Amino acid sequence: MLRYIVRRLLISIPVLLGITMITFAAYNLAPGDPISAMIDPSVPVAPEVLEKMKEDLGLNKPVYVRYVIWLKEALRGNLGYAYNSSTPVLKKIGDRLPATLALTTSAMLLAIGLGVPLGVYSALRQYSALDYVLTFFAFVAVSIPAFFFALGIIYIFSVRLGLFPVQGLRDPDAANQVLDFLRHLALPATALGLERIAGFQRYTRSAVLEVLGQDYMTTARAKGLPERTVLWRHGFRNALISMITILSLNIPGLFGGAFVIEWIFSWPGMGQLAVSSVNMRDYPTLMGIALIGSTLVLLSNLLADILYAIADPRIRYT
Amino acid sequence: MRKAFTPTVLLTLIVLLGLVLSACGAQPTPAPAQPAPAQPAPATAAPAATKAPEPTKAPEATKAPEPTKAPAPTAAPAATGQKVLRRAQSVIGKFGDPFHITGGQIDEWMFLSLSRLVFYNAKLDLEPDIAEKYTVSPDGKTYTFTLRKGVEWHDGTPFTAKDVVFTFNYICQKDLNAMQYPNVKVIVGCEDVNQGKATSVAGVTANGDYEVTLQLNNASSIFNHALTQIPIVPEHVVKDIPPADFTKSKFVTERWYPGTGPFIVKEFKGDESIELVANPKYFRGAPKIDVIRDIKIPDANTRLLALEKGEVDIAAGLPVAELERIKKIPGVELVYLDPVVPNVLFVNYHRGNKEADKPEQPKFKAMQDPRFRQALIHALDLDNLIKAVDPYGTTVKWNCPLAPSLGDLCAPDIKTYGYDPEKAKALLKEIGWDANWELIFVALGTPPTWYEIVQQMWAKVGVKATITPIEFANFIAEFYGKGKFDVIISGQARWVPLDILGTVHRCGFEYPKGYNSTQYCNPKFDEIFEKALATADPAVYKPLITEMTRILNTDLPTYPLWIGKSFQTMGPKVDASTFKLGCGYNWTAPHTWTLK
Repeated sequence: MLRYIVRRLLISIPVLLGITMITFAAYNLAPGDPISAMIDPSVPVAPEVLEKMKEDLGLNKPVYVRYVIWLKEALRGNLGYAYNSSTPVLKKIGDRLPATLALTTSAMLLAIGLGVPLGVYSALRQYSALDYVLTFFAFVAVSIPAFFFALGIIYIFSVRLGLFPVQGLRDPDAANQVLDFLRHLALPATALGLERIAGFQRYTRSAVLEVLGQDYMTTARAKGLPERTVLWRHGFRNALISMITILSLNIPGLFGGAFVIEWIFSWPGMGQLAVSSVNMRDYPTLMGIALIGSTLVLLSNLLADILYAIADPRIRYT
Repeated sequence: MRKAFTPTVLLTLIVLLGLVLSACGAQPTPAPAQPAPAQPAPATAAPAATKAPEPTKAPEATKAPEPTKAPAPTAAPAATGQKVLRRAQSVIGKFGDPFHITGGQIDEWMFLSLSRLVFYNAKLDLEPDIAEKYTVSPDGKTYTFTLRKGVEWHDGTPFTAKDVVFTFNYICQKDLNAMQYPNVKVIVGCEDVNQGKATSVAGVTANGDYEVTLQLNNASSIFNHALTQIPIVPEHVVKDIPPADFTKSKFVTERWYPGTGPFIVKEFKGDESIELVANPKYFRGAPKIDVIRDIKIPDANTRLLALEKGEVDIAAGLPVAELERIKKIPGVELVYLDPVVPNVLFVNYHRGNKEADKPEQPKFKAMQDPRFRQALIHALDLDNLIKAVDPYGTTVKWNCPLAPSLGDLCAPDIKTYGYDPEKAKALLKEIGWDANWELIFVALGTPPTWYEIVQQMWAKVGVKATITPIEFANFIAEFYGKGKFDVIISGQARWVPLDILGTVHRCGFEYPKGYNSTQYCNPKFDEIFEKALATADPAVYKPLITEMTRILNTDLPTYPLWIGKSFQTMGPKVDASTFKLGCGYNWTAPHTWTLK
């Protein structure tokens, strides 16, 4: 297993290099430039100042030269400075990551905590009234646009009922900062979790249904094992394989943030940072986000493979 | 493998880690010991141009400075009972660099903590700020400023003429690439410093601690404008920041500086929030608000909901479409900002200076005729168009090349090319316009819905226009650089006449020399402009500006069509009457802002 992990990690290096090359080229070849994005088009700035700004940011060099410079610095752990604020990219990302982790993992916990049990229940009571209700809920949940649901719950639970704050991460004047943080977290986590609850419920349902029809389940029952053991030890464990795939696909999203939800709730996380950076054509920040994101995708794929082996002892890697 | 390593356990660990990190991050940041000025951010401790850099010192751009001075007044957390003004903004990060104001307009935040020598009032006249008074010699070449006595920087260091002299010397440094430099290089010796021929600007001198003289090579009306855009920075802080490192210094990235303005930056979280506390020693009087807390709420709907719930007291940039709903929120007042950005029709002359030009083509020849421009305007039913642009009644017709606040400078006999489709058709016929010719009707970003209405109105008189979006972040290269447009209707700030009228309309001022996107050229206009530029006397240059408006209204290289009012929404806690606007977007007296 260890050899396998090392080999996978080594293969990841050229893959990562390829990803950064393509991403860098895509960002830089896309229409628009950071200087234009920084200024107000209704108020012309002296062109000579703009030219010097371009020079200072190194934007007058060819794309491949800029990539080599970026790569060299990245290998030294320096991802550069954000164009519009002159803040080191790593600091910028580091400042945003905790907020995103808190939001996305809370939403994920909500999704797993509700989606998986409901999916199992739905599978065990296939075509029951509750199964239909849950299926209906799942389709509604995945169909409602996130921004609409988010604004809806803000209006109801914040503006009308006054139970939660409308936006932000904290109120600096709050007496109990932890409680205040949880109050701020509640609505965005719910808005973000809704679609995932539905997703997990549907995936779990179909995975469990598939397992329920297998011969080994009949054999386990024929052996006289209690139904609970049959379901959890033989059924759920085998259904876990597809759940691991779904989970591993979601891991990069934990760090990448949620663009729409962070934007609407003014949640200062990675999603909001990414949107602002795209609008500002802030290439260093975008490259930092892309590098971290692609590393996480590669690592989460590896993690999924390892978890397969844990969940199913028949899976072996050499 | 042990069962303990289940995905659920892993996820739980990640969640706990995230919650802990965020909760820790959510703790209120202790007030910095003070915007400790004595230890700025510099990478190398060397004043620009006057002292050799010390390359052996390691850059410390991201390391927190060690405060060495006692805390400045009031830099403490907002206590109970304090008057806190909470404002929701759409953007926070783009401010605070006094020499690279990328928005082009003076930044409100910066002047909450820094001061200028003078500022513009609503009529474009200069008023003293940190200068108590000023005089300009009859030839317009010598400015003498008498500074206020007893003013202190936020850290308690006395403000003197040395700070002013330092600021102007700093702006002239080449490595700083200050946005103000093009308008400041008229000072004697400024260009020499910029080119490395001198170490200090000869034309800037301190006469004692409270008087500064600026000597210009020639009188310049645009220099008056430059003066209103120069925040005076503290020499004892900035002298240690090499100009090349300025944008990455803590002065910019963390707003770690003392100013002389009414508010002190207490906490700046880039692109997220900023908190300022009152400076009780402010020279124009102690502020009436203890704390200003600005937070970024990027989504306009959320800003409105936050205002409705009372989480913020002021919400900027709310959608006009929500005006009726906003007015129904109890206690809310609207403060209309001085409209300074009319929507202007630009028609390209295609004189052959740009990649997209083919001046020999009959279509482009026809476009150079003023009658073509008149026809385009006569074809527009502006009353109905404005109703479509803004059904909420905040937009009005406007045909003067200057912003309404400068309406006195518009020529009284300025022509209105009213809606008259038959006249438009006749004019087009006169110039031999072919209805099959197609106009590239460019939009910056997503074309607004009213673009199609304009397209239809032009089609009715026989002008076919194809709407072509240019991405917002690409407009300099495509629009100004390559000249890829025939017509465009776009907002353009028109509140600093000599700055904008010159760069947009002078012969040969196409990009990159200027922003003459239409390639307009009228030597008569240039002659008047040069005369206006060469004087510092408003009594001389104001009538010349009026004459320029007349020429532009006749030639029609650009023609304002309408102007919309933007507004700030003030919640019930705010005394809206205390928010006074100067020229453009600038609040003139933040220290008088009051909460009920």
